[in-house]
Amino acid sequence: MEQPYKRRNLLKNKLLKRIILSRNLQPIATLLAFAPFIFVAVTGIIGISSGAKNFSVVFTWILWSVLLALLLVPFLGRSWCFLCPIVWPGELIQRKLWKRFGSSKLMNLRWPKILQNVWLQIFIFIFFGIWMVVLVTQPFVTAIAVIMLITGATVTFILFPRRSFCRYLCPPGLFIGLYSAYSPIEVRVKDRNICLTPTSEGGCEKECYSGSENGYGCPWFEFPQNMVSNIDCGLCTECFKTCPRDNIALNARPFGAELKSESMRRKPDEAWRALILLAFPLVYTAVLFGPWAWIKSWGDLLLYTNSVGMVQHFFYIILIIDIVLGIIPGLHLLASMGSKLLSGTKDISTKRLFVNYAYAYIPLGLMLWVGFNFSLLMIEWSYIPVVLSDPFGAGWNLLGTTHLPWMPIALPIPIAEVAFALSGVLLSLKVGYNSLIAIYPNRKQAVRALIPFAILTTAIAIVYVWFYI
Amino acid sequence: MNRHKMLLVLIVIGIAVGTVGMGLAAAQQQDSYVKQFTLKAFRFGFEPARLVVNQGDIVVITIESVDAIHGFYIEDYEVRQDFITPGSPETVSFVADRMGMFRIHCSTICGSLHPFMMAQLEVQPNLRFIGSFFVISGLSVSFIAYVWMRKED
Repeated sequence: MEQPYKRRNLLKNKLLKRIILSRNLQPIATLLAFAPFIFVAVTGIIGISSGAKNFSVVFTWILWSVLLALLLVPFLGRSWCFLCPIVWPGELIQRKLWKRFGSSKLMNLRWPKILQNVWLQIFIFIFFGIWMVVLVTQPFVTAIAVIMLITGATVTFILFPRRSFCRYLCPPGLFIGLYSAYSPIEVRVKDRNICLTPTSEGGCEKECYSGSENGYGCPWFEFPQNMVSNIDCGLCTECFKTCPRDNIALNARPFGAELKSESMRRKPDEAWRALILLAFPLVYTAVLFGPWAWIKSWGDLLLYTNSVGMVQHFFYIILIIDIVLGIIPGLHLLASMGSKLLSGTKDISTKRLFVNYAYAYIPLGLMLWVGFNFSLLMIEWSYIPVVLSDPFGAGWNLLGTTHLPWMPIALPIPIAEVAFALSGVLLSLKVGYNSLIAIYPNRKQAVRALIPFAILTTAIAIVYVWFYI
Repeated sequence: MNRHKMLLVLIVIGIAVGTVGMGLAAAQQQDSYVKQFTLKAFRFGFEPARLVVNQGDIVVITIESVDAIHGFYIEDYEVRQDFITPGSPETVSFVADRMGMFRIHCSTICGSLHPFMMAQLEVQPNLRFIGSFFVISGLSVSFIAYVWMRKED
């Protein structure tokens, strides 16, 4: 379980440790985040229908999602999950009404074994992704999505223990979780041997998982002593509070360190998650930033009142699903087959290459998401002060910025997009090379096996930059 | 030669290949002409969706709004015309002195999909894209060459 990379425990800073150990930190942060999302629901339902003038759309898709993709996820991993307001009502019911874990039969339903993976989460993400054209432009739809998420989370929290919703259902969590693997922050045990000491010899009672009077058992079903990845760690800080040996560290580490680590388990559902999340920024860029008006109108479900339009919308859905579940994974499968052929050995199966190498697209996918959101922010930022001054589009001028003209900052976009694509390619190749070196006995075989993946990685980056330069 | 020097040499070779590609494309540059377009703006796009000109061309674009009040803005060129009403076309003109693809936006809020109402102006030769193509490809080739030639750890 040792991870061969440099780490520095940030909790050596006493002030930070005090803040992290405080029981008030999470409720305050969550409450602060809950307020704007309730306002999103209210403005989305009763505010103006034009998205660019409504707080609901501008806050959610130009401020929140952009900050998430540009700053929170790349630098702080799942930090959003720490303060996520979507789960607040459900978690409140679970912790205050249902008391501690296991005290109620109603909340103790077992999550179906067949769904103990990310497939359902992937399909929910694709469901929301297909209707992005209406989701990111219609305030009412944004409001309904927020209400649906809060309701879905609350019901799941009532029926199932801990954060089953976050782990198996939450659509933003699909994105946040995967790319948190690249972030330079991690929660890990300081010394695993301390955890392994038997209780009879003075070892702990595994309070990090079962909970104690100091805190809750890991809401994410993680067992810190075995954790080697950030993907399912919600940075909730409970294990810091429950560990009786003070054996949990909040580490700073190099970007992408765990992706290069051999101890990280590679799973097929996570591999598909990486491929689907690689495809979506390309799809979003082509549909929303591309010059083709027809695809935008085909994707706009609310535009249609006749059967011809519905047929077009149906073809649009097929097209998106085809790219996300067919073309990109299909190209990766072809690259895996080519990789096996070039490596000159049959010992490593195509399936193993498919699954293992998919993780190498995490840095590229993250960079494409960053690039898409950077462009969105640069072009549309001036709507933020407008809706802060007039959130409902009702003609208010609270801050004096309601009539601010649209002021795009287009100049840095092309160079930034090329830089994002270049760094995505380089970082992906580095991770990919490391994963191939780990499975091939001969280094030259690994390099030959890398070639088809490198071609695919390069091609994806080139297609992406075409939309910006 | 140590690994870092080798990587540096390969990156320099990659950039040199990219530069040669850009130079070859620039050699194909044509003479300047006046290029005129009539661009129809509608919810939520422009027709034609791609305008292609050569570097140095004088570009004259007449924008006709079909169904609502629209606007017109070209990234980088900062050519902008707001509030184009149906029945009152507006004309903008400029010299296409910068190469590349530049996105055209609607600059006046016209409905739900307004932020994504876009077209493209391509000023050929698009050296920005050709250069990026070679630089990204060169980076991948350099990386593979680097890991191929490096000594066993």
